[in-house]
Amino acid sequence: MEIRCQSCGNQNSGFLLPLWSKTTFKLDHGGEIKILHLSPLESLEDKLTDNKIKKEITCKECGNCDVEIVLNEFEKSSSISSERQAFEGL
Amino acid sequence: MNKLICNSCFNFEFFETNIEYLREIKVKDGSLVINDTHFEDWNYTDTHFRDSLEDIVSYVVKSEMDALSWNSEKECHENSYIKCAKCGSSQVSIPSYMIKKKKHQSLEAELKENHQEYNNLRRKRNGNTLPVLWEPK
Ligand SMILES: [Zn+2]
Ligand SMILES: [Zn+2]
Repeated sequence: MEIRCQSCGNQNSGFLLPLWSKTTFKLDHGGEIKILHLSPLESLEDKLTDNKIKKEITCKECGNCDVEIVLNEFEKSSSISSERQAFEGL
Repeated sequence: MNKLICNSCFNFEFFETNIEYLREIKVKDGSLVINDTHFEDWNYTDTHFRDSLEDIVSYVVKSEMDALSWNSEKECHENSYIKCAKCGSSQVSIPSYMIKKKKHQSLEAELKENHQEYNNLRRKRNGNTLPVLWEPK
């Protein structure tokens, strides 16, 4: 697998991706927000397989959205397991 | 002072909303690695998440009706951003909205509903010798 910014040449590190999550919070009497729980609503796996990731990934170095992702079948399965572990660690 | 209330179960403490959680990804030995994103020592994933949540809550509190949309099936206003974490209802609003709640009725429906009350008023004002008002059949 490879990720490359078409604009600045940044490669394989420093890419940002937002993932929707559901958060449960408490409003206390002083109006302060306490975050109680966080659970993912979408997974990187889905984004990778339906190509949605290309529209949402940005380069951290230059802020550009023109990012190329090269993925092959074998790597796809190995990347999914590491993503699972990383995201479920929330 | 409570900022928000669920109009279904009257919970004013526990709520839910959807927030974008920012991840930084890199490829290491052909595999994808996901982490929080940092700028120098500062965890931007954390700050971005907390700021987004605070923004949503303060928008909903300040905008009052703008954060609500009318659900014609259930005949109630629903919050487009925040749900009740106790009963799952979307009928979450600022507390003063409870008072304004019935205002969505149509004028015709409200007149019809209050017809008897108006007749009582006419009776009090004019006694029992009321002319019968013409009404369409
Ligand atoms: Zn770049
Ligand atoms: Zn509720």
